[in-house]
Amino acid sequence: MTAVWISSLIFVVCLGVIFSEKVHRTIIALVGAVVMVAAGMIFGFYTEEQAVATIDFNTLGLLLGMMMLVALLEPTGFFQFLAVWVGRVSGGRPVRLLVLLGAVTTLVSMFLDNVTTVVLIAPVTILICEILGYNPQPFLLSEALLSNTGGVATLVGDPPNILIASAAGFTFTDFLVYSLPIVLVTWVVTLGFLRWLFRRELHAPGPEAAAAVLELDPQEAIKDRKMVRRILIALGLALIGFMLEEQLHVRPSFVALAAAALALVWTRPDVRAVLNRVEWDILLFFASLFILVGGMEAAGVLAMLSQAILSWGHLSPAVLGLVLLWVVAGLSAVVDNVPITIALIPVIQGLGQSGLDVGPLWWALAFGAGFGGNGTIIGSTANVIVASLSERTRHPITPVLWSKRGLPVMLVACAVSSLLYVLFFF
Amino acid sequence: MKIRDCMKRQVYTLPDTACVRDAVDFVLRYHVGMLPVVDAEGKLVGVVKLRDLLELGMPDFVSLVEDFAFVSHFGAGELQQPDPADLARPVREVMHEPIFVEENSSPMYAAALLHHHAIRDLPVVNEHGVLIGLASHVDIGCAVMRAWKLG
Repeated sequence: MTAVWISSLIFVVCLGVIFSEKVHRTIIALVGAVVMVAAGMIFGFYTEEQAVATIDFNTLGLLLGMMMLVALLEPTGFFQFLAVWVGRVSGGRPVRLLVLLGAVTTLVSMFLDNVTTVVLIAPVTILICEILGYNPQPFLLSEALLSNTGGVATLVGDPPNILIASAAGFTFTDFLVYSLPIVLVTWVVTLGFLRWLFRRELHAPGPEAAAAVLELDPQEAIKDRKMVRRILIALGLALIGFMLEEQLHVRPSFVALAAAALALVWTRPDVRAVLNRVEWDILLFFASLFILVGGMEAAGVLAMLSQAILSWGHLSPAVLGLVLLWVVAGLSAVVDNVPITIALIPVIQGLGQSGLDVGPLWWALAFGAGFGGNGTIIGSTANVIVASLSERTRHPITPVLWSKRGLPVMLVACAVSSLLYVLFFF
Repeated sequence: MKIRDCMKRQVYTLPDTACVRDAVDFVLRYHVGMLPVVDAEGKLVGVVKLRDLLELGMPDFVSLVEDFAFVSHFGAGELQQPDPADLARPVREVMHEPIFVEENSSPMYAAALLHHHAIRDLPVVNEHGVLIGLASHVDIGCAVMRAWKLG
């Protein structure tokens, strides 16, 4: 029983400090992992070997491979090209611009790192808005909210999805079959809702401003055409590889790393510069969380949680799924959704071992973790990025503004996905 | 040769009680790019750069995007106006720590300072920290080059 209390305490304290944002989350996770292993060795519930075995190298490999591809694509100007092109195509009409920018950000972040996408597209969004004389807030908020929403659709769209797929054995195609349709409907509803929320802000531009937008030249944004082509081909091959995962008998991490290797050998960049852009802090964060949560699992905390859920009596699976979706969404709005997901995976696995059909529960976890991030300004990294970029403009996005625009979006997305979830899975 | 021998002695200064709007008026009136800010005793307490003032009326994206080669016309951004609240701020809040030289410094030392900090004008102070002149990069550069043996 001591082991249960100690391991839970370490995890909860880590989550609390992550929530307080006083120390970088990677540092907290690493310290937490070290403390967990030390406590495990002292109280005899966790060994170094067990700790290493908890690290899911499939998740880390997939993240690393995709990060290297993004790191290659980042300096080519491809992301800026997309934003400028969309700005031009919109002709400066506000609703069209909102829809197109939202769609492009979503589409790109369904396959590539959400954070990089937003980091590179948001400044160009501000540029287009200033040329048109618009307040960029609706556009920035929509980009973050829509890309968070859209990311749930694919295996590689969102870190929780990668974790869930790896644990549950879901393939890329599973996501296209089970998640994409629900996310698509939720995304369209979200977009319509955003359009309504921002109805007062979206007005037509002056004629001169509209003309200036038509003069934008997307081609000028691309720095190295050959490089872009080669990296996009490698990315395309990766997507095909993901879809043929079962036929090829390979895991997504192999596909991603193979595509990154191909892109590297084909473009032969300054490899140090590329590796400098890889987000090693995130990889370390994941590895540390695996060890941290592994300690709780070894101590029997997560098995107790599964037992507790089962002992509630005969809950209908649909109700259990909905409760999970909303609880995870609520938690993900205030803390990082990665530790939540990593901690809940063994719980769901425990429920599965006791004979429950946990298939739908995995999807509830994915939807909750994904849509919950929309709720607060710190709910997802994309939110944090657009907010901190906007602070350097004349129209800063404040937590209060987020609670007026983002929170309703989260509630609507969760409601819509709940409805579809029940219809689809039960 | 000392810096005091190549500097300009007529310097327009901004009192430290001025506001940003005064600084803008000052630039327009005297056509200068760097404003030394002095206290009641004439001591140099800071500098305001033309660049900082221009930034107040610059579109936000300029400091956010890496390059804007794909833009040929700023559209509504051309008409960007500074925020009245920014114009009303005291210069004390926006000025920089001054980079300056003492009047007995050498032109070479002054040239190295300009080079190191990537600036164009250098305020010159006496031993009490009182502003007595201003040397531009042309003043300083010519003073250095005059000592070269060109053969």
